[in-house]
Amino acid sequence: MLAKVRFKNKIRLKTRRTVWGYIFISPWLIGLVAFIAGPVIAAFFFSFTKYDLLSPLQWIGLRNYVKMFTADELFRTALYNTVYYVGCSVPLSVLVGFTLALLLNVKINGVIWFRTVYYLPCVVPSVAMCILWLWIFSPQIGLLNYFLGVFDLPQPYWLSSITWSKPALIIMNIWTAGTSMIIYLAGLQGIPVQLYESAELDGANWLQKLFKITVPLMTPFIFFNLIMSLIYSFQVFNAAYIMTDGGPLNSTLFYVLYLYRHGFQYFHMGYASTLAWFLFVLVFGFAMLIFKTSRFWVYYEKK
Amino acid sequence: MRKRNVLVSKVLGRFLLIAFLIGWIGAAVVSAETITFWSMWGGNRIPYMEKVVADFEVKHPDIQVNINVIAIPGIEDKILTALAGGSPPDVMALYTDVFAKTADTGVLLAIDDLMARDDISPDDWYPGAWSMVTYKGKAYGLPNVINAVQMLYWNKDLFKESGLDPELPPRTFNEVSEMVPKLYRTKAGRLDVAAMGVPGVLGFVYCNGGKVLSEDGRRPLFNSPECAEVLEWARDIADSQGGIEELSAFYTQWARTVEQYPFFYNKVAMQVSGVFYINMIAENNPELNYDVTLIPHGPKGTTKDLVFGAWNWVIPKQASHIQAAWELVKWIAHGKGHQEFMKIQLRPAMVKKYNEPPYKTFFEEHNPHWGTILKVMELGVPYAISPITREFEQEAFNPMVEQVLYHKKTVKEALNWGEKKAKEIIADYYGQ
Repeated sequence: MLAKVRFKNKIRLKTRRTVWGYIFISPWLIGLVAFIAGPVIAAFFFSFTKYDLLSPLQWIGLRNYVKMFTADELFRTALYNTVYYVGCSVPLSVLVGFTLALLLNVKINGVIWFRTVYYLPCVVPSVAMCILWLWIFSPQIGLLNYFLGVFDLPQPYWLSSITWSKPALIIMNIWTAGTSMIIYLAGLQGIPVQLYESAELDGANWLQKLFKITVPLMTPFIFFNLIMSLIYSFQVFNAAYIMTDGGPLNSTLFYVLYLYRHGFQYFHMGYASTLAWFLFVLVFGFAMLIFKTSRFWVYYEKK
Repeated sequence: MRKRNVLVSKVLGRFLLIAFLIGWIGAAVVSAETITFWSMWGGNRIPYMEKVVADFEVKHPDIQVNINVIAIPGIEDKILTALAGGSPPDVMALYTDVFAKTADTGVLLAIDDLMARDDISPDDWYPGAWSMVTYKGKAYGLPNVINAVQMLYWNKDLFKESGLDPELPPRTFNEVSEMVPKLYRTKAGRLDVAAMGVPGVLGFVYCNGGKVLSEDGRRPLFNSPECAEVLEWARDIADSQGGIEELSAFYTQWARTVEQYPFFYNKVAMQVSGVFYINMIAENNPELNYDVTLIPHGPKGTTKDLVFGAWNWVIPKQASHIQAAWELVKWIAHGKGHQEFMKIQLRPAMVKKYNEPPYKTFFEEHNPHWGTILKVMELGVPYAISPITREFEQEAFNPMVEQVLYHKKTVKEALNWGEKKAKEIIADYYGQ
């Protein structure tokens, strides 16, 4: 009898705790439903309609999807531009961030100032950064072409060139590698020193220590930064919107800029929702691919 | 002690209640009708508009105006959000492409009845300006300002240094083409002084006897010999100054800010721009030795001033204070407010009478180019008032022009591509 009462009290306590837990996280939950989950589901519905937010929506079935895959040349252009950007930007920013972290993990005087300087670009507001780089990329008076000229190297037209506009924006993105650098630095400082000492005793050189100790133990951090960088890069928008408006000749017409045009400039909310859902599926697919393959190359210390 | 505290609390409580009631009742009795007004006039025009609104409030003490300046880049987002959310301002400025789209969806108030009631006639405005506020035969707003009155500004000093007569600007496409090689200069292999930027093909098609879209926006008309000539001319102007990339890089280095237009600083010999340029030159470099004339025309046409866009003052149907909003719109688009606002900028008014005597004298005294400005106003031709103009320009017409300038397609290939793309956009919108 006593055991029954104790059991009932335990259930009631558990239920009460659950309820209170939900009450405490309810502001976040309400926000999630109202501002994220709700709009995502609504966008899925809108993707099957012709809708401009101002007049009643029209159900058109799969027409938006058919148009996107078969009749929209600019969809293919925007997708190509974005995949190009992601394909170059993500590996480079992982490499640069990791290299910077390795360099800044050295114990020298003033390293804290170096770390601050390399992190500073990440706190520059996006618009200010774009204006700054408009000047840096100026073919005639910009810093970049000036230094290229000092070494007698070709000086491209950067943002005025169809060929160089995307590489220019990729370079600008790598400038903010400080964000991933901080995460790598934290990871590097968590690697036990004894491992390096043992390796040295066994006669390992710096290259062997790097690829046999450092890199394997850093794979979880590389994995995290890879996923975050992938998601972020697929959504590139500010630079193209502020600096090039998709030009010249749609060479910097990235996917989200194209989506924005359809949604907010042409008022094609239905088609913009279709584009948004395709992007979601694409990014989700890439992320899942990286997750699935991670068991072959990501090593967690517990293992 | 306790009794005293209770007494003090009671007195204080009653005092606060009475004060609140007085304030609330007083506010209800005294408060004017407050309307929200979204203006897109920024920069140095903000104090001008504030003065116009202040004068309106003096004339209408029962109406208070809450003015918000909305930056033009991204203004569509705010308008769309406000309209979709059911809380638009009482008066706002809409540009042509958004204007047509919103008029098409029925969210704007048609003002024909209000105009008839208050004895305001469409003939009060220039035809080009009036054409931009009508959609499918109804007026959905009053003209604010038109993107037109395009003139050719030329730098007399640069003309003289290049051996050209500083008093003789070009009048035709051919004359421009002959002058460009003489006017541009390079320094260390880069363009240092540009003869002229790439001409705006859209407007120049009309100066060569052609058209771009039908006035209802349902038919592309630019796949024509007239447009082909303009494209070739634009490409040749770019190529003779080092190519489109060099020319684009030259303009980019001036960082696209208002204060750094290269024409102000003797770095461009000829510039096609609107009437607002005169004010900007006066502010940035009053010593600049320049003049203005009609824009050049092609062999198949005469100079036309394409009204390719306009900002209109509109009242959404969902506005909370329609009559008060209409009073404000009349003031800033037809009344003294409009006259004062344009006068202070030395710009021509959209309402004809404000450019004529007795007002004309002020402009003639303060704006040496007034005669040319009025001539250009009379040459206005309407573009298309259509919900698809923005999409058409961004996805069909402008890329078509770029394909020619960047030598990616021949003129004929580009025109065929552009026409096909335009027809797809039109068919998609109208559900054909």
